Amino acid sequence: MLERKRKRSILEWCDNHLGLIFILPAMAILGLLIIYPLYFNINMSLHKVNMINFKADEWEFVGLKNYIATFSDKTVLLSLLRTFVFMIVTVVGQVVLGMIGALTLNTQLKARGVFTVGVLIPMMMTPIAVGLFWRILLNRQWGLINYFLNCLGIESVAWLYETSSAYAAVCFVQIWWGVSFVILVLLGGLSSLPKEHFEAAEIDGASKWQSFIHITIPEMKSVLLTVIMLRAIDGFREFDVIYTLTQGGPGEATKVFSLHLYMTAFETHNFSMGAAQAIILTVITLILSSGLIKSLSESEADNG
Amino acid sequence: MVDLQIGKGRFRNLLAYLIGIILIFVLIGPPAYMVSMSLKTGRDLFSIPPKFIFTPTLDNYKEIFGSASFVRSIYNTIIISFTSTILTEIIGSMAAYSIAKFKTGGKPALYSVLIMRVLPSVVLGLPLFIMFSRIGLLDTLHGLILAYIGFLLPNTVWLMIPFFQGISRSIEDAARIDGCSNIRTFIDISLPLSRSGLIVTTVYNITGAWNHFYYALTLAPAKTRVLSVEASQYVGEYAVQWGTIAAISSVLIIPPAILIFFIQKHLVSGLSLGGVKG
Repeated sequence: MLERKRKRSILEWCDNHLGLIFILPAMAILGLLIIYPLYFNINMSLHKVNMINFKADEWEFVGLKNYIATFSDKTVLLSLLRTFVFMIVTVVGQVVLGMIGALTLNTQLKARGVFTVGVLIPMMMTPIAVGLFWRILLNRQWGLINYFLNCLGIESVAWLYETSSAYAAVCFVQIWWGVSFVILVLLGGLSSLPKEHFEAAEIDGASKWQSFIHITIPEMKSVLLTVIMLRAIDGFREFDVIYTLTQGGPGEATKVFSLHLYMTAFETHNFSMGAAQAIILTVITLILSSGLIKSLSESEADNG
Repeated sequence: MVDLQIGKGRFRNLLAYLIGIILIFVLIGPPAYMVSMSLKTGRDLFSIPPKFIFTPTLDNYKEIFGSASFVRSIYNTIIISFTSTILTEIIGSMAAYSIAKFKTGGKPALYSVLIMRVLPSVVLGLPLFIMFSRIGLLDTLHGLILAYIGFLLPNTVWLMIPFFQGISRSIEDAARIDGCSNIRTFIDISLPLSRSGLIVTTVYNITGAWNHFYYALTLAPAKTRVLSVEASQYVGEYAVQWGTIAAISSVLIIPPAILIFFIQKHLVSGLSLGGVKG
């Protein structure tokens, strides 16, 4: 009797503290797989860790030496610059083309559903497959892109084997891949805009362009900001597509920061240097996402 | 819906259709062409002008499915995607419910989920590699499943929170008055009511795990290779085997595409409810 009562009170206690119990597994997983690795990473970046001693209990403490070495390395600074340019070019491309796509789909087209499904597919495509088939399409001799260019009377380009064209090609593929996500999110924003504003503007004699600039853009501000932030973060850390397209080549023409980090850590096995670069990438990501958090909390405040 | 067409009258509808068709052509054309390439062999692959009409063959698929390491990688990918998705759904919806209904952790909990969601796997791959190699989890199914849960979980929690918040308080209060315990309310009322959230996150998680590359590349490069790593190896080794590469890419992209096709209605509502996906 007493036994059962105790069992019951334990169950009751658990039920009353369900919020706490429900969050514990997630906290354990995230602590183990995100928080602790981050701490471990910071620790590694302050020591000397390489292929020989990475399993040892103690590492030689070197202070900020890894960070100083990273920032005085010209190849790192160049890859950072490359990454920033890549991020800006691809975000602008995706948002401009995505806006045009979303405005087009946001009409009373009968085939709207078909178009939307078509737009959805690239978004879910494996980045590795995207890299692989664009590699084939961009082939100098037999690629479809050069075939179309030849039809227009333009000479074939060795897209992935020349410094400037390879950089342009990775930017292009990133835009191609990301634009469908932008279209979808902007489409969601557009279809929830209040119709009355546009009617009022039309009565006042505003042109489509004017109502786009003065109503659509301001009304869509938070959606636009969010999508820009998300694509900027993704662009800054892009790895998969570039890895399969060019592996950073030719030379170092498309070696963005994440590829640089990967090669430092897993090809030259300089773990502590890789860790320092990972921390730098984390800090940049956090700076970029603080904008995201701000725009999200503002939109939350707007919603009351 | 807002009417934001360009141009006037019949012409503007035509223009919208035209842009729509170009859009579909540009977005669907390349992968469709690649699927068609996977059905070509020999001279058809390298003909100029490209052949759009040809006799399809399954030779490329026979070849890849004849390779033991390829079949193994498909097996690994399926096991890892499904296991990590199921575990993430359970742990993630519990945590989201806790944050949404009991306000556990308050605003800071919300923000830390958001921050963890944007942390790149390129950052965590290195420390996980060292940690896993110390405890013998490197190149194992368990290790990779664990790592995958780590990157799927923050996104799942983030997307599930608004679904639980959307359930009206009165329904749950009614259940409580009827003598339902908290846990019963969660299982019998809240979970079924957030069905479309569960569907959306499940699809995101399966495709996310199926598509993921970096952890698989760094944490399981040999014995436990998954499909995306297996596919990436073909670039260097068999650069001219276009038919094979096309077949592998098709195997990679077709399952997520089918999944998306069936749940697209849920997906669009999920996108607008759960904020946006990264």
